[in-house]
Amino acid sequence: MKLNPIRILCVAIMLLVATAVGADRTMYIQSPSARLLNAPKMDASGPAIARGTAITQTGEEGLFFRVRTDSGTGYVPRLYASAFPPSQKVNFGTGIDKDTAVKARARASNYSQTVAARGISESQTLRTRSGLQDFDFDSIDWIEHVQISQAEMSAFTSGGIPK
Amino acid sequence: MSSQEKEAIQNELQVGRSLAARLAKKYGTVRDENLTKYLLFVSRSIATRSSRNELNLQVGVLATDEVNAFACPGGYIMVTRGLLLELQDESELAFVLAHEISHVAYQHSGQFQSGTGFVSFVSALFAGGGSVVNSAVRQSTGELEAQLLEKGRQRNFELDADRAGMVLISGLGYNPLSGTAYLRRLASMTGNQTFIKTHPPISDRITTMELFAVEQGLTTSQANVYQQRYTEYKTLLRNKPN
Repeated sequence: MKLNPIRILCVAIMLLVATAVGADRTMYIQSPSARLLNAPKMDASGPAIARGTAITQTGEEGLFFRVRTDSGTGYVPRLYASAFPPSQKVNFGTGIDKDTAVKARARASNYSQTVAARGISESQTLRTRSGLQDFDFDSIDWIEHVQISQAEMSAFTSGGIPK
Repeated sequence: MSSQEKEAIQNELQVGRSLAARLAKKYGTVRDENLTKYLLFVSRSIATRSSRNELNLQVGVLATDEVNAFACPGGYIMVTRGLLLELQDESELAFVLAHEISHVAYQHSGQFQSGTGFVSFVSALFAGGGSVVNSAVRQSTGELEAQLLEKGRQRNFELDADRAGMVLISGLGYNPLSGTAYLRRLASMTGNQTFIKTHPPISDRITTMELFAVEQGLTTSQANVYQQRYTEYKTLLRNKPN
């Protein structure tokens, strides 16, 4: 039988893609009550895994990840693991690296100059063009400015409400 | 976290923020710092155990008597005044918030990518906290708004969020079946057309949740409901002028 090189190439590409898609990935435990379960069930038994521990996800079964850790293999609920360690927070408008921010500011400056040359204020232009009358960003700003401290959160989780 | 990953999250935050602003415009909002802080306590204690811990969850109260809650991308959760007045205790509140947080955790609104470029960053730099809605954001917001208010999400997404919500709240000591009590009352109420048309039948949800609790061994014994402290905040909301 004569082998078709194009078919061989297609199969090779498919195998490579399948391997990449199924590749193990590193995740981090988020929940302080996570355990390395011996079955994909919440009431299965298993040792505790500390928050922030790096684990390797090797598959999925329903609501659970199959994982590999230094202490063995098992399952954790998908909700208890993340691609990022617990401490890194990303707020709106922050977390942009310096180089990108510098380039963006340069572009913003050019845009502002163009708009100013046309005698239109920036906010006026943007509000008109973007139909901001359909949005209430003032309320979202207010929501975002309500803050809770770590001490208040600790008081809450121990059963009280801070006064 | 790579800069591409941060950029993808910024895109998600931008769309989610705009969708929340759209809901706020549509319904109005209740601005009470004590009540909002309380909702943050409950929701963030749930969210810190979830897979999207990189998001700083925000919660707002919509000034409508409809009973509903909405999860916007990026962790903007909007609950209605009608919902908060209908819930009986903090365990039920925790279930509702955990259900919405699960939609965010599982990215049921879609996965956001990096590389939308110029206008995303410009919007973050202008004064006013990013009150710019470019055409791409507007389109995404419109599609998601239709999903929240008209079409609903895929059925399996809602059932997954119910089960995930139960897992999250049981880990905090709340009653994992508190959502079924709330749904049973909702089934007998009228005037919740938005909720009815955007979610699977309530009976299906209750059955799925009860089976899940048995399969997973989620216990209700020694569960906390914190009824008294929930009632204090409910009274505060009830007495607040419109």
